[in-house]
Amino acid sequence: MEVRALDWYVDAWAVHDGKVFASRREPHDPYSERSTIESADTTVFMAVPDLQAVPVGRISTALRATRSGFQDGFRTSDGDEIPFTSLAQIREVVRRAFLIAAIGPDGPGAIGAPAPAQPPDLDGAGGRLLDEMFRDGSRFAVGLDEVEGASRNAKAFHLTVENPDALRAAVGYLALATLLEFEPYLQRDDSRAHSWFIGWAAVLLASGAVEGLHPGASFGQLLERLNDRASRFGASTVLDALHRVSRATPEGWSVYDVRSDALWTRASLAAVPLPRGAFWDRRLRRLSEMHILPLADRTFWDQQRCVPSLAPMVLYEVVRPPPSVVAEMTASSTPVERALDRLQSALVFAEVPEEAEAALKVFADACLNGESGRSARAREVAHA
Amino acid sequence: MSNQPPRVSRRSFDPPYFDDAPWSERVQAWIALVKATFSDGNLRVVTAAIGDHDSGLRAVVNIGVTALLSMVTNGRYLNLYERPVIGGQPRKPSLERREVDRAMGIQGGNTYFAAVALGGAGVRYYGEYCMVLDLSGIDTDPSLFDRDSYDILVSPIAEADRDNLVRQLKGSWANDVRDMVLMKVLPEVIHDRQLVTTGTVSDLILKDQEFIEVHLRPGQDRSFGASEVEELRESPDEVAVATRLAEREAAGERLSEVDYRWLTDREIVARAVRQAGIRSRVVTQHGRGYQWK
Repeated sequence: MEVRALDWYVDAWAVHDGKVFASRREPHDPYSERSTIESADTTVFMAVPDLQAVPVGRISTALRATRSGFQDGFRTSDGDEIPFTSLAQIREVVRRAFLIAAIGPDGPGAIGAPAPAQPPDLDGAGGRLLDEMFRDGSRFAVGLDEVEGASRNAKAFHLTVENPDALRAAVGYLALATLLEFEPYLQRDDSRAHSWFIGWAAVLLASGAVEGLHPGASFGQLLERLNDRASRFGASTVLDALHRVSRATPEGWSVYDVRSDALWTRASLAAVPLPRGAFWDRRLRRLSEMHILPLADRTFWDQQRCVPSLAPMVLYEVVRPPPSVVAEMTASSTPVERALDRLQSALVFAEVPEEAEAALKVFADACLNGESGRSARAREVAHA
Repeated sequence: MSNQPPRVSRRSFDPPYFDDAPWSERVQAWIALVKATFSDGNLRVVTAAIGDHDSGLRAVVNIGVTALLSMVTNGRYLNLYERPVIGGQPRKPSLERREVDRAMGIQGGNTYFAAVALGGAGVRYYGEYCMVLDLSGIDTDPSLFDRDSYDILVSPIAEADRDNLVRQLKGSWANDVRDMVLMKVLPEVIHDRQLVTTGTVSDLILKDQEFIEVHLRPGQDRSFGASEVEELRESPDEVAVATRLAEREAAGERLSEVDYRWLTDREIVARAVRQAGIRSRVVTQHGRGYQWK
C-alpha cells in the first residue's frame, strides 16, 4: 500500500517579519487534546530575504517561537490547519504576506516616514490633477496574460498595454501629482518635509518620469511645468519650495547631485504620498503601496486593468533604481518602457492552497484598514 | 502527553548534571570528577569571563523589525500573539503552551522570555536584532531553565520523569546563573591541552537554539522599553547580506520586492534606534569580534 507523504504545516510565523517555522507532520485536530509533535519528521526555518529552508532539527525550537512574537500556526477561519504540499507553497505565502504587511497606515514605511505629518483624509491637489487628467483614462485597457512555458507550479504573466503613449502620459502626470500631494506636509514648515520633497523632486527629474521633461531636467524646468497646475489646484507651498530650491541650487549642480544626497533613502521612497485617484482603492496612501499590492495580491488584477491603475506601479519602478547617466545615454527605450519590462519579471505567482489565498486577501484588507495586528493596542488586547 | 508512563530510565540522564543537588554542588561534583592539567585554569578563565559586572553575563531578547519599531515608538515591549495576524484562530489555546506553562509554573501573559548570553547576537531564529537588557529595571532575580523550555515536550524528557527533571533543571538568576553556565560550558571544553578563550565560552553559553532560558516577570501589566535596553546587537550575517544586496542594486540589478522591503525596513529600524538613543553594534561571538563595531 502506498504511504502518503505528510503535508507541511506552519508551526510558528512572524508574518510582518517574514520568518516562519514549518514541519512535515500531522495536523492538529482542533477538537482533540492530542499533540502532533511526535509526528513531525522534518522542521525547517525560513526567513526573508532569501527564504531558503534551514533544517532546525527539533520542533520545540519552532513552538518556542510563539513566545517571541510568532503566531501559532496558520489556520482557516474554522480553526483547521492549512496543509501545504510543498515548502515552495509556504515560501510563496510567507513572501506575499511579508509584502502585504508593508501596506496600510501602520506599515513600517508609514511609521518610518521622514516627516511625521499624516496625509489629510481629503482629496489633495494631486488627486484633483489626476481626476482631470485621467477622466477618460479607463478607456485604455491593460491585458494580463499567463505566459506559456512558465514553471508548472508558478504562473508568470505578461502585461500588454493597449496604448503605450497613454501609459507614458499617465506616469508623467502622476509624477506631477505626487509633487502636488506634498502640499500639506510642506505647510507644516518642517525642515524634514522640505528635504524629503526636494529629494523626491530630484528623483523624479533624474528618472525622466515627469511628463514633458527629459531625464536630468532642472528644478527650474520642473517649476515651469508645474506652475500653472499648482496654482490652479491650490498647491502654493509646493511652488514656493520649488522656487527656493531652484534659486539655491549651485551653479553647475544637477539633479543627480541632489538625488545622491544622503537625505534620500529607500525609507524616503517608501513614504512618498499617493494622490487619491478615483481609479484605485482610496485607502492606499503611499505610492509604494500601489506597487506592492498588485505584486502580492493576485486578486488585484481581477478588476484593476486600466492604464491609470498601472501608472503608480510603473512610476515606482521608474524611480527605484539608482540613476545612471551612462545607462540613460545608451538605452534604446524610454524609462517607462524599461520599467514595464522590469515589472514583467516580478509578475510571478506560485500556486498556493485556496484557503491560503483567501487568508492573504483578508490580510491585505486588514492592513489597508490599519488592522494588521501590528499596533500596540491590538497586541495589548491579545496579550491580556 | 504528560500522563504517559516514563519510558526512559532515570539513570540514562547524566549525573552530576541531572541531580537534585543545588547547581553549585553539581559544579563541585563535576570538578572533583575531572582532574586534568588545564581544568583548574579553565574554571578560573570561565568564572572571570562571566563574572565581571560590566562585560559579563546578560539577559538578551531577540526581536524582529515589527516588534522593535513598536517598542521604540510605543515605549513598551509585548511578546505574545494570542490572536493570529493572518488566518483563523485556533479553537483552544495551544496544548503545548499550556503544558510548558504548567511545568514551568509560568503565568503566560506576564512572563517574558529571554536567554543568558556573553556577547554574541542571541537566538537569531527569533529576531535579527538582539536586545541586551538591564535587569535592574525589569526583574532582578528572574527564573532560569537550563534549556529551551519547549524541549520538555520532546524525547527524551517528554518520555521520562518529566516533572522531576524540570525541577532539577530550573534555577534563579541571583543564586544559580554562574553555576548553570559553568555546568554548560566546562564539560564541553578540552582540559588536557590549553586554556579556553572567552570567544569559545560565549559560543558555548548560547549557540543556535542551545541556551539557558530566562523567564522575566516585570510585574502585573508591566514590561520593558528602550530605557531598559543596554544595547542592540546585530550579527554580521545580516549586515553582509544587506551590503551584498545594496551592491547588486548599485550595479543595476533589479532587486526583488522582498529584498527591497527588507533593506527598507533595516533603514527604518536604524533611524528609529538612533532617534531613541539606543546603542547599536554589530558583534560576533569570538574574541575581538565581540567588540567589533
